[in-house]
Amino acid sequence: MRQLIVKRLAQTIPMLFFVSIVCFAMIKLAPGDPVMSFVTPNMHAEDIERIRHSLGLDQPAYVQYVQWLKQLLSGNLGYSLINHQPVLDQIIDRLPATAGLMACAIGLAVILAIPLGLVAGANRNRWSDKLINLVTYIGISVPLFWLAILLIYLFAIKLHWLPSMGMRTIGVNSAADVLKHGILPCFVLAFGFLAVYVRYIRSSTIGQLREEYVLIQKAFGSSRYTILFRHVLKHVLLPIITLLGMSMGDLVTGAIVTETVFTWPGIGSLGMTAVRGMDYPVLMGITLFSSVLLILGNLLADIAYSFADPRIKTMR
Amino acid sequence: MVMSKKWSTAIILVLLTALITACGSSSNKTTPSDNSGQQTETSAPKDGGNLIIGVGADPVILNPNYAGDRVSLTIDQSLYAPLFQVNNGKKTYYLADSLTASEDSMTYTLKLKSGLTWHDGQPLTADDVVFTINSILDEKQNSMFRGNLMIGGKPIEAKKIDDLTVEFKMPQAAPAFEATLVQLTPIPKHIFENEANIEKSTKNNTPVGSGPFKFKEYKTGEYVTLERFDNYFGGKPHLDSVTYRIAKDTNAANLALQNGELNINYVSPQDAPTIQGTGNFDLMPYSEGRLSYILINEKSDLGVLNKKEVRQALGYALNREELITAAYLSPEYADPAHSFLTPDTLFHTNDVATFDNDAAKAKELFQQAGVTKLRFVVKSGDKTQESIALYVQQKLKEVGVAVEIQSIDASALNSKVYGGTSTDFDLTVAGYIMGFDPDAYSILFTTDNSSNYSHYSNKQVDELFQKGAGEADAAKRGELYTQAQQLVAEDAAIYPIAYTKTIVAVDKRYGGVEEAVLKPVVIFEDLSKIYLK
Amino acid sequence: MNRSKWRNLKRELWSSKLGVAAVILLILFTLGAVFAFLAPNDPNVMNVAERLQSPNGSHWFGTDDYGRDYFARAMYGGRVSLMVGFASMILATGIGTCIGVLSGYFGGRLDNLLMRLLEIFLSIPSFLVLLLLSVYLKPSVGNIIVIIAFLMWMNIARVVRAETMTLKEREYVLYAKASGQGAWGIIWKHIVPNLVPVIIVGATNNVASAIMMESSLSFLGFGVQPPNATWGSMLNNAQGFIAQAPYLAIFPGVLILLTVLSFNVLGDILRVGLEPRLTKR
Repeated sequence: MRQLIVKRLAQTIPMLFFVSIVCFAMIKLAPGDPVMSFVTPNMHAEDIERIRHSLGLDQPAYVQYVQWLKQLLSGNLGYSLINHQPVLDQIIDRLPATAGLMACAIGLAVILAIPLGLVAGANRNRWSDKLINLVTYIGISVPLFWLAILLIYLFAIKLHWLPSMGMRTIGVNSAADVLKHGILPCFVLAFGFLAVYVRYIRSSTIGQLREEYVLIQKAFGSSRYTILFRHVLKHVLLPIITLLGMSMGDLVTGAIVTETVFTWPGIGSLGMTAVRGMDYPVLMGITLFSSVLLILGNLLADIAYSFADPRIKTMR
Repeated sequence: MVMSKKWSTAIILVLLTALITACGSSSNKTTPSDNSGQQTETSAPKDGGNLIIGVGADPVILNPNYAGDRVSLTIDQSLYAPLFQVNNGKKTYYLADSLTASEDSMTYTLKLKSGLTWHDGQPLTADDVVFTINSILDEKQNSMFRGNLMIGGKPIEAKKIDDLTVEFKMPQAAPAFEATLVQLTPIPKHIFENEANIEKSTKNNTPVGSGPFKFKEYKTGEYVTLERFDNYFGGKPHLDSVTYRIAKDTNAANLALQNGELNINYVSPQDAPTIQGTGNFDLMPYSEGRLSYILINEKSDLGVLNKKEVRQALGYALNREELITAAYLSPEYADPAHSFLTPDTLFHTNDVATFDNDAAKAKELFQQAGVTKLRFVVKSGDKTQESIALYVQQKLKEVGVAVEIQSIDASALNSKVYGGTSTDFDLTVAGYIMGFDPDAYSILFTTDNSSNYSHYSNKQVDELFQKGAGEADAAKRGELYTQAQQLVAEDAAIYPIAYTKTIVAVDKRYGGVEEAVLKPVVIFEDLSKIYLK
Repeated sequence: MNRSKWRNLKRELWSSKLGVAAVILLILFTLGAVFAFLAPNDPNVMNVAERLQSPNGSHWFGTDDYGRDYFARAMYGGRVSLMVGFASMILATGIGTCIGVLSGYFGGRLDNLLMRLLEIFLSIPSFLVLLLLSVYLKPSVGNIIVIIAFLMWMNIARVVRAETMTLKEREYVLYAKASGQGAWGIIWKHIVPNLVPVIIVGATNNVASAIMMESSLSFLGFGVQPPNATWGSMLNNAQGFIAQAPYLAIFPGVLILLTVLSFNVLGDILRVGLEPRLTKR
C-alpha cells in the first residue's frame, strides 16, 4: 500500500511538468496578446512597448516558460500580468469561496444520496426506485446553468426570498448572510453531484443485498431497514469515499459556469477573467493547482477503492 | 485563518439549515421596491446611507498613475480628487484654485487650494503634484501615461514655486496641455516617495487619496467599499459609504439591479426597457464624448479597402438612422455622427461629407472594385456590436456583398484589431473617448501613428494635425481642425455611426445626481453630492 | 455482434417506457433538425416591431429580442447542437478506439506511453482547456467539434483497452495468431467486431456529454457565429430577459434537457442489452 502511494506521488511530479508545458504552449500559441487587453487608444506606442518589456512579454515563449518554471521551483507562482498581484495570493483569496461552496454542495449531495440510493437499491424496479431513477436521470441531464437561471427567476425575482448574485449583502458581514447567498448555487451544484452519487450507491446496494451477511441477518429476523441502514450502509460508505476523491478534481474548475451565473467570487470567476485578459501566470497557477487536486483526488480514490475491494491489488 | 474558521461554521450551518431555510424563509429585506411608494419630496439633502454601484470587473490598480481601465478610473474618481475638471468647455476647480497659461502657451502656473489634506491627515501640497509628474516621467516607474507628458519627444518640467504653486514648463508651445493636465490626479508623495516600484507596491492595496471617500475594504471578485472622508475640501459628503460591487456578467448584473441588489449601474439600450419596467429606476442617458464607428481595415488582404471609393460604398449601402435604431433601439441613446470629432471637442462640426442611402451607387462601386465578401469581427457577448454587424450583413446582402460575421473573444479581438498587423479582417465596430482637445485625435488619424488602427493615411491630414498642435491662436487652430474633419469625412476613413450616450440606471431613492454631474467613464464627477432621499 | 444480443437489446428497449420515449423524442428532434428549413419563418430575419412576443399562433415559441422567430431558431439551433454532439462523438470514439486497441493489443512500451499520455490529458482540468482553446481558436462549428472530441476520447480509450486485453486472450484470437495471421488482420477481423457493443455504449454517453459541453460553452459566450444559434447560446441570451420573457429560457433549456436525457436513458439500455456481463457485476 505504502509503495503504491509513494510510486503514485513520484509519478505526479513529471505529470505536472507535462501538464504545465501543454498549458503554457496552448496559451502561447493563442493569437491574443495580453498587453492588448489593457491598451486604450490614448496610449502612446512607446508606452505600450515599455510595458510589454517590463512584463517580459517581448521575449521568446520558451524563455518565458523557463523563467516561469524557475520562479515556480523557488515557490513563486509569479505575478498577474494585469494587476501585478502575486498569483498565489489571488488563488488563496478566492479559494475559500469556491472550496466552501463545493464542500457544501458535495456534503449536501452525500447526505441526500445515501438514503435515496439505499432505498432505490432495496426496492429495485418498484415505484420508489423508478421515481428516484427519474430524478437522477434529470440530474445528470439538466444543464446546471439553466437550472440556476430558473431558480434565480423563481426565488430571487418572483418571490424575493433569496439574493440573485454575489456572496454577501454589502454592509452585512455574517455567516447567515453568506449562507443565504450560498443556498441557490449550493443547491444547483449539489443536484448535479447527487445524481451521480445516488446511481453509484444504488448499484452497490443491489450488490450488497446479495451478500451472505444480508441473508444471515434476514434469517435472524432483522428488519429490512435495520439491515439496510446498519449493515449495508457500512459497506456502501467506503465506495462513497472513492466518489469524493474523484470529485476533488472538480473542486476548482467544476463550478465555473455556476459561479458565472451567480457572480460567486471564486476561482472560476478568477479563471474567466484571466482567460479574457490572457493573463498566463494566473491561468497557469489555477491549472497547476487544480491538476494537483485532481491527481491527489484520484490517488485518494484508488486508495479507498483498494481498501474496499482488496482484489484491486492483484490487478495492478 | 479567521476566514477558514468562519467557513467551517458556514459549512456546518449550510448542511443543517439549507433545506429548512430554502423552504421556510419568507420576507427578507431584499426588496427595496416595496419602499419606493413611501418616498416623499425632500427639500434638503439628508446625511447617511450607503450606495451600491455595479462595476463590470475587478479594479486593476487603485493608483491613478497606472489606472487605465474603466473600473479603476471610476473608483479612483471618488478616492482621489482631480486638480480640475472640464465639462462642455467649463472648468470646475477641485484641488486647484487656478490655472493660468502664458501668452505663448509655454508656461502654465497651477495654484492649489490651501488647507488640503490627504485621507491620513497629511497636508497635500505642491510637492505632491511635482512628485506625481516626475514619477510618471520616470521610465523606471512604468506609468502608461508617460507619453502624455512628452511634447515633441521632450518631457515637460514641473517646478515647485511655493507650497501652493507649481509651474509647468513646456518644451514647445502646447495649447493642448490643459487637456493633459485634466487627466492628472496627484498621488501622495509621503506614501510612495521611497518605493522602488510604485506599480507593484503593496501600498496600492490601501490607497490614501484626497477625494470625498476614503478606502475601507476590498474583497477581490466581490466589492470595494469606501467610506466618507469628513475633511473633504468640497464639504462633508452626504453618504456614509459607497460600495462598488463587482458584477462581471452583464445578465447577472441586470438581474441584481432589478432585484434591488445594486443601486446604480450601466444599462445597455437593449436592457433599458426592462429596467424602466421595474419603476424603481431613473434611466439617465448622457453623452460620454464617445464616437462609435465602423472601423475599416485598410491593410486588409482584400487589397481594395485602401481605396476611398470602396469605403464610400459601404456608407452608401447603409442608412445611419436605421443602423442607430438597430443598435441602440432609440435615437434617444445615440446622436447620428458625421465627424470624427465628438461634439464636446473644440472645433467640432457635423457639417461634413456623408455617403448614405444609395444602394444602387453602392452596388456599382462594390462591383467595380470586385468586392463580394467582407469579414466583420465583433466582440463576442457584446449585443450592440452584434446588432450592428447583423444590420450591416442584411444591408450589404442587398447590394451583393456577403458579410461573414466572426464573433471572437475580447482578448483575441483586441490583439487582432488593435495589434496593428492583422490583414485577415475587413470591418469591426470600435469606439473612442479622446477628451476635449482635437490634438488628442492625431494619434488615431495621422499616418502610421500608434492608434491608427484603420491604417488611414493622408499627407494633408498629417500636416493639418501637426500645425494644429502648435497653433496658439484659437481661430486659426479652429480653421485647421475643420479642414481635417472635412478631409477625413471625404475619404470615408471610418464610418461614424453615432455619438453614443451611456445610460446609467439610478435608484429613485437617491438624489443629488444633478449636482454630482454625470461624467464620461467614471459615472459621477463628485460623489459627495449624492444623498439618500 | 450476434443475433441474441440484438434480440436482448430489443426486449430491453421495448420493456422500458422511458426507453421508448427516448427513442421517439430523439427521432423527432433529429427530424426537426434535418428538416429545419421547413420552419414557417426564417430564423435570422429581424423585426424590431415584433420584439419579445410571447408564444402565439404565428410564432409558436414567441420571438426573441431582435424579433426573430424563436421556433425556427430552436430548430436551427438544434441542428447545430445535435451535429456538434454526433460529430464530436464520432471523432472521439474514433480516436479512443484506435488508441485503446493499440494500447491493449500491443501492450508493453507502447501501452505505457499511450497510457501516460492519457493520464496527462485526464490531469488537465478539462473545462479550463475548453475555455482556453475556444477563446484562442477561431470560433467555428468545426473547431468546437474538434475541441470537444479532444477532451472526450479518454474514456472510450480506457474501456476499449481493457476489453481488448481480455479479447486478445480468447482462444480464437490465440488460434489466429498461431496460424500466422498478422496483427492488423487479427485486430480488424477478430478484435474490432467484438468491441462494437462497448463502443456503442460509450458513444451514446459521449453524445450526451458533448451536447452538454457545447451548451455550457455557448452559454459562456464561446461558440458558433451569429446570426446562427445553438440551444446553449440561446440560453445565454435568454438570461438577460428572464424577468420579462421567461419562455426564452424555458424552450431551449427543455430541449437540451430532453435530448441529453434521452441519450443517457438510451445509453443505459444499450449497456444492459449489449453487455449483460457488466451489469451483473
